[in-house]
Amino acid sequence: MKNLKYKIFTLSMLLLVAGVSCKKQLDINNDPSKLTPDQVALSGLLPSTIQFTATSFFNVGQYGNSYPQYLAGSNTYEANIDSYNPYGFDNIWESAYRDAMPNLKDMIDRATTAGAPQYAGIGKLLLALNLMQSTDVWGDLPYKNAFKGPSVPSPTYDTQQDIYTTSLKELLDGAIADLQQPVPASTTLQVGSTDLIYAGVIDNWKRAAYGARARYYLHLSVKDPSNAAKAVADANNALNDRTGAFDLQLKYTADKPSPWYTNLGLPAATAKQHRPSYFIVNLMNGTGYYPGLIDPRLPKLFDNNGAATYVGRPVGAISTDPGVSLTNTQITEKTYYAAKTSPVPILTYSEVQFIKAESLLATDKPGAYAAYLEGIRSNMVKLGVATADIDAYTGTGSPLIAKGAANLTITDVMLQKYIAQFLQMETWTDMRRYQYSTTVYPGFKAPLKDLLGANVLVQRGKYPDNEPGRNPNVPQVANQAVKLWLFN
Amino acid sequence: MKRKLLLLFLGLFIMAAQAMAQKVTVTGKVTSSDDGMPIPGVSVKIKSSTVVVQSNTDGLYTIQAAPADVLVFSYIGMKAEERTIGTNKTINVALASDSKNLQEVVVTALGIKQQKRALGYAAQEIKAEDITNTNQSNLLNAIKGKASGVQITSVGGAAGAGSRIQIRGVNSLNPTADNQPLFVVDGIPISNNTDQIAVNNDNFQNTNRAADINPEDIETMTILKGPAASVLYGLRAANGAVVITTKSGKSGKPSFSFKSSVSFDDVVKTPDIQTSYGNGNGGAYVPSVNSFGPKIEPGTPVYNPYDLFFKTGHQTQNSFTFSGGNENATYFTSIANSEQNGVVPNSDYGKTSIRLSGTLKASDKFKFEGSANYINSGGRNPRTGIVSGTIFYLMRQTNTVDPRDYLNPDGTQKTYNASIDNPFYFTENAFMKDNVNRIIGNLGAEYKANDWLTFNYKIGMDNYTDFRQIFSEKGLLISASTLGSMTEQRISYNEINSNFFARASKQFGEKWNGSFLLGHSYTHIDRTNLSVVGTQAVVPNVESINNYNVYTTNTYPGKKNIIGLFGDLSLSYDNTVFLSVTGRNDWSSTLPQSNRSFFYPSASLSYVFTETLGLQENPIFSYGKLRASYAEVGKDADPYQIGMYYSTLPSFNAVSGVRRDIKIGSEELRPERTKGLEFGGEFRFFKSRITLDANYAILNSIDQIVPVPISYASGYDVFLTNAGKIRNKSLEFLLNATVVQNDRFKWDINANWSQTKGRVLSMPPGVSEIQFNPESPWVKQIIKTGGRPGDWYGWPYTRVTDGSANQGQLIIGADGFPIIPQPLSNNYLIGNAYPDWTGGLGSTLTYKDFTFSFMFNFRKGGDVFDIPRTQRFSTGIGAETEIRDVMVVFKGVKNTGTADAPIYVPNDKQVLIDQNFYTASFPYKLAPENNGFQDASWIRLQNVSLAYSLPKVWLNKSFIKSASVSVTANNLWLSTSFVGFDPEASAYGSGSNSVGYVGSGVPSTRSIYVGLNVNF
Repeated sequence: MKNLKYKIFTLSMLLLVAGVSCKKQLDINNDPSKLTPDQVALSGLLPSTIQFTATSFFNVGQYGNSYPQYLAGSNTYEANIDSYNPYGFDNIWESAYRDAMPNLKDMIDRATTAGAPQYAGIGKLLLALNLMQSTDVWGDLPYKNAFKGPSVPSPTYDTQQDIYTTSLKELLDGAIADLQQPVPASTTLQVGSTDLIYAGVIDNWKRAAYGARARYYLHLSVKDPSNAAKAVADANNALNDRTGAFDLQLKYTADKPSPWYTNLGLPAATAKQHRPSYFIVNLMNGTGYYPGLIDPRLPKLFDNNGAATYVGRPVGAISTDPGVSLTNTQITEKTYYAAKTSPVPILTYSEVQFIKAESLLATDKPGAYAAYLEGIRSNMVKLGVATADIDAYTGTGSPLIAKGAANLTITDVMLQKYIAQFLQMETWTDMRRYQYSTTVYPGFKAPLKDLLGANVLVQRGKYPDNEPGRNPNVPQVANQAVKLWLFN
Repeated sequence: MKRKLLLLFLGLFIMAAQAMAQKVTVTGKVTSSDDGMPIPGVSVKIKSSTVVVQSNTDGLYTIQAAPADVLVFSYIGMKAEERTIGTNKTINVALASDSKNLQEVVVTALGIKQQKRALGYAAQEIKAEDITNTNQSNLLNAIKGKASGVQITSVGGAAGAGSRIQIRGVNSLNPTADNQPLFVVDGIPISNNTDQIAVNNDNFQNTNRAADINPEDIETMTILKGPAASVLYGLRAANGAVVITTKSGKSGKPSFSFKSSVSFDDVVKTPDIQTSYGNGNGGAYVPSVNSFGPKIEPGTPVYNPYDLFFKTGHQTQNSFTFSGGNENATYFTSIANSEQNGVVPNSDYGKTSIRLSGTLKASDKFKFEGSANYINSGGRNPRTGIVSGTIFYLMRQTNTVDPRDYLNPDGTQKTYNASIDNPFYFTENAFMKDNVNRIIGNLGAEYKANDWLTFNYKIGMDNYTDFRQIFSEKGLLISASTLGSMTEQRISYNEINSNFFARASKQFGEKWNGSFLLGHSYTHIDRTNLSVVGTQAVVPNVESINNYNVYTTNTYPGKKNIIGLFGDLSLSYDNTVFLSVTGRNDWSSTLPQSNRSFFYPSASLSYVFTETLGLQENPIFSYGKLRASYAEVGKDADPYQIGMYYSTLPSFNAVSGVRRDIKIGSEELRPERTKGLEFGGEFRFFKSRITLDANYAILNSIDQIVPVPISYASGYDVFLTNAGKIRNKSLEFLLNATVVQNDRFKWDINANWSQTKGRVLSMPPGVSEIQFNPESPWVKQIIKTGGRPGDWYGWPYTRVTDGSANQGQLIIGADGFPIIPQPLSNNYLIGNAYPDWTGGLGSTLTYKDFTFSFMFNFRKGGDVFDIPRTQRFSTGIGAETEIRDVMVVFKGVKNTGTADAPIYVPNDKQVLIDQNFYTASFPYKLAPENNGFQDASWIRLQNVSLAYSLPKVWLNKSFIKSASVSVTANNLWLSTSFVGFDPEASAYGSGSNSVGYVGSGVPSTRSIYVGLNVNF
């Protein structure tokens, strides 16, 4: 019996020792390969959010460029999207809503708490640009209730009207205000070398913010023409380097090649998902709206493998449709946007000029005309067109372009903006603002095969496939032909 | 820590060796009184002591005992005999068979042997010969069709391909959860991970780690199906357990055995191709990716890519075992090697296993055992996938180009179209090589304090490194964005398990028996995965990680510890009623501190009612047992899932960014619970000639740890939390019958049947559904409340549902084609991936020295989605596209009324079936009727074998004890209405929870083995 007591004592001592070492054995659940929230600095969040934003501005156009008909789907690949097969822009739902915006929100909150107004300002600007692009695709979206983590797993949708009139306004005004604040003394609070776009030059960010607000007012000028003047005022404070050196854009590197390079530049001709459409190519090869006028940007934007002419691909066509086999243009790594080190533009100087031209057209034709020419010329400078060619295209010997202030029409402005904004989905918003008017966009046609119905044009993105199963608040929309509030 | 334990063991050994006592040696022979043949394995025990020896293969035994001792001779199915030693030096005993006292023993949790009659839950034992007779090198494939309620799905026919095992349905909603059982070898868990890496939707048919075990080492395999059976193993056995006991040496003369086999493998089933139209588009020849070209002129060679690509594979297996021992120590060693060349060119797999195990009885009180198993396995695995990969390219290959002509004179790839890679070239230039080095070892000690109390300690280790190289040559379509890439990956896995338990058992009075077990276990798992990805190859054709311009390096650590305390109280009355109550508390490091300790109980009852009714001697119904059990098991999470983290991004222009992870885990995470209720019975008729076992189980899994997909707009992709409830109901039958038994001829039949029905009772709040692998929105799996795991959703053709005479007819649209419902955001239930039931029917016939056996396996229902089938339509190579350039009228009705008031008349609109019809996604690809979604019912001759044992008289004079030759075939015959490859091969690999996706992997093979088996 004594023996048993001894045994019990030994056993309980052993258990006690085991209990102590237990705790040590169990407190091992921290991932050593990751950072905890307190290890994160603003300077680390900035380059990620810049990359995510640029990715979104690529992603929106990767397939979306079929809608403004910059690109036509290559058979057996994404042919269906240019025929309006339901498409949810799933990849920007990922890059904007899952990647860019939550991290921007995080950066803004941290910057506000820490007293780093420049980080907050850049954060608000990039957040506004992501949100504006997203609402232009989908309309109503979660924002006010969004990014609150698992406590709000299914945020409600704000109306597009609310997003435009409240949220975007607050963000853009806030961005400009923050970027005007004095720079804090502490270097950890200063934007510096991790700024992948402007390397810490806050003045450039401020100009970009004005440019973004100009874009915003332009969008709203359909609803209220008085916004045109506000757009002009902001445009005047916006980006001012006509070479495009200070454009809001992310320039990729050989190690991290541009997504257009990976997507279109690199793959073999037959494996490319898209080719330039006949609409954009015809605007530039002298067969479309500008008869006989060859645009010197043709070889910068397209590769026709040395052929005498440039021929684009019909939109919504399959390989046996007429005209398809004549297509000779490709986007290759030799072209401006699809080289390894190409930039993905977010907002450019030439866009600002066209915003100005469009906004002034009704009130100040000479001003509009000057901005129109400056928009064309600056885009050509950026693409590296020779000065002589620029002068030839925009000079007095080119009456189709240099037609004089009095003769300037909305068609001129918008078609030139269309060319200058190649591969940027802002153009789709432009086209929908004018409801694809063939006065503004002469020659624009519905895709050959139109799954929305004969000659019905696409108005919006379907909500992404990923969302309805996760969020019961997704608005029910009959199809992609339903107009957004902004265009109503 | 490990070193200290070792020292402790050495000390114990030395002490024990001195504890020997003075005794006489008694020898003798045990025979059967029925036929006078020697009985091996008879337990010869000194009564009222723990000293036991076993008779050898000749029925001989040797034991040290005192003259006053009484020897008890016992053997399963025989009446025990007792003999007092006295002055006898030789005691021969003849045992008589005893049908009433069937003391069948089953190895259950912790390696404890229990009488089968005492079990209150379902446990199915699979015998060694049933495993080795199949010649399968992956032991999971060897038990296909043999176990009821167990679904084994092999990933396909690639050399070394993994297999997935699931017992009684899906318990976890989590798409990445492991629903597979715990594997336990000699009381110590081992890893059955399939370390799977997906590369851009492509994957490799990685091996499941249990396949490393040499089937020749297995003595028995017990499948513990429900939580009541596996509760003592703790949370890792929540999906059941596969308990393997390895062979050990027997005392007596050393024994050698040698087994050798060679196989011939080929692909079971390939899709038919059309042979009327050649390469081209729209009826004209162009070097297109399509086969919509002109009619093939007579005399033009036509190539069937499948026939030309797949070759006959071979597997050679050699194994050698050597075992023996004396009454105090036994040893068992085995060396086995298998080498396989796959049916896909440039694929292979090999495995070498060396195992050493031994037992030492140091004294009457101390027993030690230990084993070490070294395994080297791996090979070269083809890359497959649903949008690229070996089989994808093979499937798109046209019929008028010889696929074997794929090299240009300069060694570059010759293709007829730039959108397709040649499958031969592809397998040469895109693959994964893996090399696994693994050591599984354990060391155990048992101390019998007295005749009722035993202490048992065992420590085991499972340690492997898997070195992988994944290579994609520059210039392949998959290398378009990387310009050639290579990944080197080092996965290392280290698991240590320590188990201690004390067991007391005592008889109270005449009829009561009780035992009590108390134990402690500790599990440590440390898995790391370091990978380096190189992209942009410098020089082509150099297979070295040094040959790249851009590198990304990542490490994925994962460490967890689990501590368990458990107890088991068992009571039995009159060897008739058995009650067992268990409790276990686990502490897991992966859960938040406040919730990491959790307790779960179980209780099971077994009642042999035929004893009470006095039917033991009844010639018709002699044995009947009823059993019932209830058990709960908890389940923890993976490491590092709680809270949120940030990650660094690869540098951009020498600047590194930081981002918040898209996963967040609840700080209040609780363990997942599985609650199981089980009823069953075992009934034996005609002197046990017929045995029927039936079981019904209900399993509720609640508080599931689910990565709930939440709206991206919340800022995260998934939130790991407790939510959701699944119920699984399983019904299982097992039948064994000996139809004929006499001196020369024996005929056994065995059959099993099982059915599992799952039901999702609730979903996480705010989540209406979870989609599995929604790569193809036209057919996808969705889980929602009220649905079943594995439910398929899609967009079937619209049919008349008004109950009129036209009920069920296809509604044909204005364009003359069938229509699918709009909008496409609505999904319609179209089937379920799990079979309605599965079954097996086998038979063994023995006539003199010949043994013939076969095993059929049945699957009824269960829809699978042949993902790449659309490729065979859109490229015009599938036999289905032979109908072309004809006008047809779809059978159905058209609506001549309005949408609200339809008037259906027979459709008469002619439409042209041409390339556009097959190429355009509307409407052909979208409807499950056409897109590869099919019922995968089958009847399969899983295994058939003929063996001939050389007559003993021939061998009498030689040193050979026994020898046999055999011919075995696996998967020899398959009958199914499924169009495509064998519908078994799963597309996403054995580590995946996605069941029912098929068609993109290397198809299943049938194998014919010729084998030789010799014992010395």
